[in-house]
Amino acid sequence: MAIEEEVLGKITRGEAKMRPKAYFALRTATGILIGVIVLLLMIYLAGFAVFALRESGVWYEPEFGLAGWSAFFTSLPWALIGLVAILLATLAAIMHRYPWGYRWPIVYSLLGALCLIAAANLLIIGTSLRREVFSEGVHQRVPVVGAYYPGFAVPEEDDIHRGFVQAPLPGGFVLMDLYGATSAIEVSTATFLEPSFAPRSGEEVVVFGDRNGSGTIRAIGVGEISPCTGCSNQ
Amino acid sequence: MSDTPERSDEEVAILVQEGDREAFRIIVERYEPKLRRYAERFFFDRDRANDLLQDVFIKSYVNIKSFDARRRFSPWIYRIAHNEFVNAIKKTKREASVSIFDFDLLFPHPVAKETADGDVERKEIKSLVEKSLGALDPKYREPLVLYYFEEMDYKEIADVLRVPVSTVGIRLQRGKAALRKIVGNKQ
Repeated sequence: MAIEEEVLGKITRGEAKMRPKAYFALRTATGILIGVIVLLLMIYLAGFAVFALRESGVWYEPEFGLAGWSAFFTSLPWALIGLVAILLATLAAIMHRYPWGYRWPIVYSLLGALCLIAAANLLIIGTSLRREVFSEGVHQRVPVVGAYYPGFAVPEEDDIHRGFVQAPLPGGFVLMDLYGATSAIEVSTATFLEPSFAPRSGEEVVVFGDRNGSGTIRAIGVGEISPCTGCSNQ
Repeated sequence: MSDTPERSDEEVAILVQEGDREAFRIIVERYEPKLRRYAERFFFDRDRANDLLQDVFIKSYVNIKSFDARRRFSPWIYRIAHNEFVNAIKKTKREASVSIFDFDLLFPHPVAKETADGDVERKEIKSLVEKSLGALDPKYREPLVLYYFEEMDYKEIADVLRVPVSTVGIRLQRGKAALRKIVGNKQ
């Protein structure tokens, strides 16, 4: 039998039924909805990763030379970065279903998504929202994901310490971290310091260095996080 | 209803969308020879092509309401055929070189403009494609067939293959170069 007759025969006998327009509209809407959810999740996770790195001080490690870079790469949240990469690939696959997605090289779509993530996070960082969410998360008050927050609040390696100068000392200072714990910081001539740096009470700093047996941190480097105008040297 | 030359494919597709089953006969009549040629030039023997063509037409009917009549019908039905053929190949794994991942899709290509081949060059390449199609990588085979035999433009080929327009340009260029190399090696 000719193809034409076989095809028309199947249609007439009802073996092949036309799908309604609503089916395709629903499929497109579902695709777009999943894409938007994936994008929002990526914005949240990528922003969270950067925020956690800043809060834990890991973000500032590259300021301390090669050793700092090495510690930075060791402390990166690779599981989170992997998850964002998987979501990015999912988003690229979803976009590839639509003409505005496949007509451009994939690298353009990926760059566009990354720019959107960066822009959205810049807007969020400008508000106190993320710090509030992070703070709630650290104290495990955020449902489901709350349990994972504390792991990001402190670096895996105990080599970076963020906090405020509580009191300058001869040859160092006392650092109070964001959760109220204090540590003695030992600064030597080998410590990497900005030329203008002098510890002043209340100044927010990041200290790169390992803790010794007595709990004192021998600073390989000290960096100012934000210049302090009203801080005192006492 | 009769197939009059005045009715475009898109107009016939609208009739089918509105429930005129007989109008689908015109689609089958118009596209059977084209899609058979497309299937046979690519991958399949006549018997296998028959089975696949039936599936292509059935899927076209089932999904006809997803066709946007403001666009051309031809790339839409060729896209269904492309999917059907690629899936058939994946099932039998006869041609392992049909790959989902391709670096050509990742990055922009500078050589992407549509080139107008002269009549002589077009005939020459068409004849080369005819002679050496089997020896060509499927990645280059498909755009060459769509361009030289189905006479689609870059944008339509991009819609059938779901690749960037610039990738179509680069694949045609590389396909032509590969053809000339194959013919050169034979001589």
